[in-house]
This record gives sequence, C-alpha cells and structure tokens, in this order.
Amino acid sequence: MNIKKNYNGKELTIEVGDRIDTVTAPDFENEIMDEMGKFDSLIIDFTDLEYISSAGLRVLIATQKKLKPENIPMTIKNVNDTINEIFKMSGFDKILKIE
Amino acid sequence: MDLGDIDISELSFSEQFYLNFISQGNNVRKSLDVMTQNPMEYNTALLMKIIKDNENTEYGQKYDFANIKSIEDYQSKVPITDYDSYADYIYRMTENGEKNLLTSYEVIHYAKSSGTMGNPKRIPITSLNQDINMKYNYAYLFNLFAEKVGLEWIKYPFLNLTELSMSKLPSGDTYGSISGKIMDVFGDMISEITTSPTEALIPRVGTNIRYIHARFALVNPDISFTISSFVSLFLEFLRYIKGNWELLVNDIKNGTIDESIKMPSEVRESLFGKIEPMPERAEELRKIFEEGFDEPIVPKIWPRMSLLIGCGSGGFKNYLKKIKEFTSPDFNFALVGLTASEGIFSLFTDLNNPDSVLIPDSMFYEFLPVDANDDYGKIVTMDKLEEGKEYEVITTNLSGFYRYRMKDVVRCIGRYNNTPMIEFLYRLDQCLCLAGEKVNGENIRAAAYKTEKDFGFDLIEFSVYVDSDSSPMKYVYLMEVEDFPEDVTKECIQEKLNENFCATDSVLRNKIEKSIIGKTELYFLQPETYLLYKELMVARGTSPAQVKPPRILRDEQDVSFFNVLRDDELNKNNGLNMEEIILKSNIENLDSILLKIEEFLEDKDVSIKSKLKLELIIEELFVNICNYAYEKEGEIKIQYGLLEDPLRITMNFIDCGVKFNPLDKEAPDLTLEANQRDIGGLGLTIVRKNADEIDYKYENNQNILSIEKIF
Repeated sequence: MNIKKNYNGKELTIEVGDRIDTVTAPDFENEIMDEMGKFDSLIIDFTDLEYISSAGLRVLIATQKKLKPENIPMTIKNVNDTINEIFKMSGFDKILKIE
Repeated sequence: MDLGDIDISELSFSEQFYLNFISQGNNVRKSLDVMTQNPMEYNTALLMKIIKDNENTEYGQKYDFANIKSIEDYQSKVPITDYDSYADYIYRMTENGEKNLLTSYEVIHYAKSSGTMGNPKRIPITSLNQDINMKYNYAYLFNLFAEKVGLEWIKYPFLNLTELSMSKLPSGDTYGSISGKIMDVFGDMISEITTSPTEALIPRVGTNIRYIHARFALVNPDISFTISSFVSLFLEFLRYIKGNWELLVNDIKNGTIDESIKMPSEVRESLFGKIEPMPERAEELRKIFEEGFDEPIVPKIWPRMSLLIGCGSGGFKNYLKKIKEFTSPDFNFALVGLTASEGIFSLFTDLNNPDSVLIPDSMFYEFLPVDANDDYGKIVTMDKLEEGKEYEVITTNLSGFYRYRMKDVVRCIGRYNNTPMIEFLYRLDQCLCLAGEKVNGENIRAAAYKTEKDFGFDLIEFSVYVDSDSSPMKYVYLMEVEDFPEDVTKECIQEKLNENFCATDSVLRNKIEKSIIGKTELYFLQPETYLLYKELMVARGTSPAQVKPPRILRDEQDVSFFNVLRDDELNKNNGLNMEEIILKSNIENLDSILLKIEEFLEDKDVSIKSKLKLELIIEELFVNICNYAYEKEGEIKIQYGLLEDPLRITMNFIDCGVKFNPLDKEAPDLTLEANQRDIGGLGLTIVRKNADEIDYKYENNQNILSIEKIF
C-alpha cells in the first residue's frame, strides 16, 4: 500500500494505491486519523488501488461514522471496475459517496 | 429462601435492592407453582382481562372486543396478524404520540427488534409487560441463584455485557433493545454495581468496547456474576482476553490505554480519570495467563464468579459448550428461555437447565402446528400441546399485539406440573426446502459444528444460502474460521461438510446422492467479515445489540455481501470437480478401477497408447497400496478428473494405511541386471516414466499420491 496526502485549502485528498488488506488497513486508518480535525472535506482517491479487503471496508465505514457528526463530507473517487464491484456487491455503494 | 434473620439496616442500597428481588422471588416461585398446576384457568383469565381492558382501544373496537366472552369468540372475531398488521398504528403512536390505538396500558418504551435487512421494528412495551420482565428476569432468577449459592454475592459487582444505548422517538418515547430496557431497573446504581464504565455501556461510535469491558473486569477479582443479552457475547469477551492478555496486563500495570486501542479522544480522556496503575493485580494476572488456557481460567481470575445470565437456547447452545472450557464445573448458567421484545414466552425451571416452561400470566398462547400448512383451523391452546410435536407460537401479549405470529418454532418437550415445557427450535422463515427435504437452522448448525470438530479449526461464524441459479440447485456454506488447519485442503473440508450435512436428514442425503440437489459447497470468508457485517447493519440503523449473525441468507444483498468477502487464499482450489471411487485394498478390485477409468475416457480424445500407459500407472499404484498400506485390508479412495490445455487426467490415490512416501526412494539403477534390482522400486519407476507429474503428501493420517498424465 502506498499513500499520498494533498491539501487544497481545507480539502484533503488521500490517494491510496496497491492493496488495502488485513495487514495494511491499520496503516490506512492511522494515516486518516493523523489528519483528523485538519480538513473540512475528505476525498479518497482510489485510482491506483487494486484490492480492498473486509478490513479496508471497515476503515471506510469507521471513518465515515466519525465524520458524520461533524458534517464533513467524504467522497471516494476514481474507483476501478474491480473495486467498484466490491462496493456494489457488499452494499457499500448505498452508504458511501462514490464518484 | 428464608430471609428472616437479616438486618436490612446494615446493608447498602444495592444489597437491599437485591434482597428485595430475592424475597419477591419467593412469591413468584410459589405463584408459578400454583399457576402451572392449572395453566388454562390462568391463561384464559389473562386473555379475558386483556380483552376487557382494551375494548375501547381503536383495535378493540374494530374487532368488537366488547362482545368477546370466550376463547372461541376471540378466535372467530380477531384475525391472525404479523408486524405489518400493526405498522400503521405504531407509526401513529411513535410519530404523533397518539394513544389508545392498540393498547390502553401505558406504553413506556419501544423495543428495537432486528427485522431483516429492512427497517428495524418498533415493538411497544407497556408497564405491565415490564412488570412481568422484572418478576421473571430478576426476582425469580436471583431467588434461585441465592438458594443455590447463598447470599455472599450481593455485596459484589457484576459484569454487564448488555448495551444500554437508547434513542428518543418523535413521540418522546424511548427506543432501544429490550435487553437494555430490562437493565433499566438498576437505574443510576448501574455504575456502582457493574464493573464496566458508561463508556462501554453506552458506547460512542468508534470505541473498542471489548477492550473496556475486559480492562475493567480484569482489575476486579470480586465479580460475582455476568449478565449478557446473548451468551455468545460472554464467549467473545473471554476470547478477547485470551488473544490480548499481554496488552491488557501491561495497561493494568502502568495505568495506560494502549495506543492501538481505538476510541474517540474524549472517551480516552474520561477513561483516564477512572484508571490507575495496578502493578500487583497485573502481576497476579500475568501469572494466571502464563499458566495457559488449558485449565479453566475464569475461576482463577474471578474466584467468586459463579453465574452467567443470558439467552442460550437454539443456536446459542454451541456457545455454551465453548464457554464451559473457560469455567469451572460448578459454574451456573441461567439460560433465559424464549425471550423476545414481545414478551417472555418461557422460563427456565432451574439453573443449568435449558428446558423452559410456558408462563400462564405472561401472555395468552396459541400454537399453530408446523405441519398444518398455515391452516388456522388447526390452531390449539397450550393445554392441547402434544409432546414431541413442533409448533409456531402465536401470542396475544400485554403490549397491544393480538394473535401475532412470532415465526418462532418450538417443540413441546414435556410438562412441568401441568404446563407444557418447550424448547426453541428455529425461526420459521429460516426453514429451507429445495426439493422436499426440510432443512432448518438445526441441520445447518449440526453439520457446521461437526465439521469444525472433525478438523479442529475455530468456527467464528457461518451462514448458508441456497444457490438457485446453479443446476442442480445447491446449498452453499460461508464460514469465517480461525486456526485453519495447515495440512488440509479446502476440498477435503468441503467433502466432509457435505457428508455431515447429508447425515442430518435422510431426504436431503437421498436428493444429493441422486443429484437432484447439488453437492454442498463451502467458501471461507475473510477475517472479521461478520464484524464488518455488524457495522454495516448498524450504519443502516439497526441496534448493535440486535444484529445477529444471519444464519440463513435470503436476501440477495446479503448473499452478495458475503460472497464478495470470500478469502481467496483459503478458497484456493484447482477449480476441478473430481469423481471418486472407493475400493477395498484387494488386488481383485484392480479391474473395477480400470473399467471405471475406461468409461470415464470413453468419449474423450485419448489415444490407445496413452490409455495403456495410464493403465500401467494405475495398476502399479493400486497394487502397491494393496500390498503395503494395510496389515490386512483397508480402503483405497481414487479421485480423478480431466484438465484442459493440454488435455490431461489428474488422479489422487488415497489410503489410510501406514505412512509411506514412495518418492523418498531413489530411482533404481536400471543399468543393473534385472535380478539385482529392488522390485518395489521398479513399479514406481514405471509410474515415474509414464506420468507427467507425480506428487506425494500425507494429510489427516492419509497417504495421498497424485499423478497427472498428459494425453
């Protein structure tokens, strides 16, 4: 897994590449947690992401839960077909904002 | 229980509170004993009271409650119902605060009940219903407990694993799980008499509750009992401690909360105010854990803990067995009977006894025999229950439900005094039928747990669905497991699972053997898939305490959710359906296998030469096993299948004889004269020369020799 973070004003874009699996999911979560409170909008860019496991999905759901009370939007962008299929089949497309 | 010689003024508030329940319990038990002698008298009286009290409600007027004088009147005037029958009324009650629609009694709460994937239900709870809950959940139970172990425990705290979170409805009424509402009785005292702090009982989003429960329970050696809505939560708690004791002990020693433990920073802050370094207790615990978990650990950590209260019937039975690995033999279980948001259906007759008896003053019972095919004419009252027969429960309760189908199936297992005892079997909507077989939660569980035992892995959770798109249709198991055995293939487990599943029902076996139903399939899921499922359901608005692992998947969305979370690594298989023949290890059987393979290759594009070479291989291997594997005679299993590109056959020769790896032997020196060569080795040389692949492994006490032959 590799991660790049980019601020555009208070809008944070996190690009995640390669795999988010049981091993890397905690790092992914920590990277997001490190930025908590610094942004008012979060974009997660999955252009280079090839695989996401249940542990990765749990991070997304947990992050969304944390942001909701503060009304901070979270958007997932540039999802490839494989990952999109995972979102759709798991029902995550109904609770996450995916562009 | 004789409480006559206790000086109440000497006792703390919570001790008085318990004693109050215990002394009420004397009367509850006496009256239960009286009622169960003549249950129909009391149950009929209850129905008549409910009808009379509610004749002026909107529902009561609609169905002319005023002119109901008997059970027969009631059954002819009032229809059988389900939740949808009440949904509109409940909407008006909870959104607009309208009263006197379904019940004239005071509604004090709405219980959040797990519907299916749709909206959670709102089940009204009236004060009368709550009185019944108090009477049987606490007075009765604590009295039995005190009778068995004395009164020492009332001085000590208990471990509560039930979530107490509640929300408010637009009407102002509280809304949350029934188990949380029942705990309401402890009021503000809860933080004094339980070990877990509010941070775990009413958790904020993103808090690791298991850690907090474990952390605060471990520091208190005096815990005397545990309340857990479902007994499975207690097992989860113990497993968490087993897996994380080093971290927990360190935190206890230093008065810290490990960085890796997830919780919002405010929660962490407020918890810091409640902990301090406890090096002595930490040292005690470390010693206990270092001794390992082979011996029961609960009595070492909490010497006083002697009771677990929770729902332990039906699907929860297997959890009990696992909990007993952690507890001492004299540990007690209070297995609350069939309890639901709609009321208490049955009550355990004693500690440690899963049998439960109907309660004549809890609700009015009717029963629809499962084999009546929804013919309401066959509905019976409790006095007509036949032992051994299965029924769906229909309730008229104290909270505004009339002749409500519970979809819970119970079996009558006998009588307590003159009142039927029941055991919970399964949810009616969890019964599957593909081709005349009747498969329900019980069959499905039995096969899964047997397979878990056969292979010694740890089954965390599992689900089953019917793959109706395949031809023939088949059952598919999805399992989340830990401690996956290293030396077993998935196919091997799948095979055994199918066998175990067939063993639960003769009709099922028959259909599978005739390929009317396909062989049972198995897929393993990624770690923590069921936790993710729980979180997804919560994100969609179901109460966390009410999300149960879905045993039978009926919803397309559920099926695809679990299927997309399969674990590719564990499910690896060569995508091949092997055929199989089992023969006695007798050389006379050589012809049978050769004939079988000949038939198998009949319409394939295989040259005679290749066939002959294959026959040589089979002959050598088969004869080898016949001669050497068993002392007398045993079984040889031969599996075979075709692979493409290039076209080739793959075969496994499997025996349970003495462990022997023929490939360990050096290839014999063919330059020697024939009479100087090792005869056994020569056979294998033929195999080596003619087969394109040859492989040996020893798994589950089986020799498995695999070959491939390209045609």
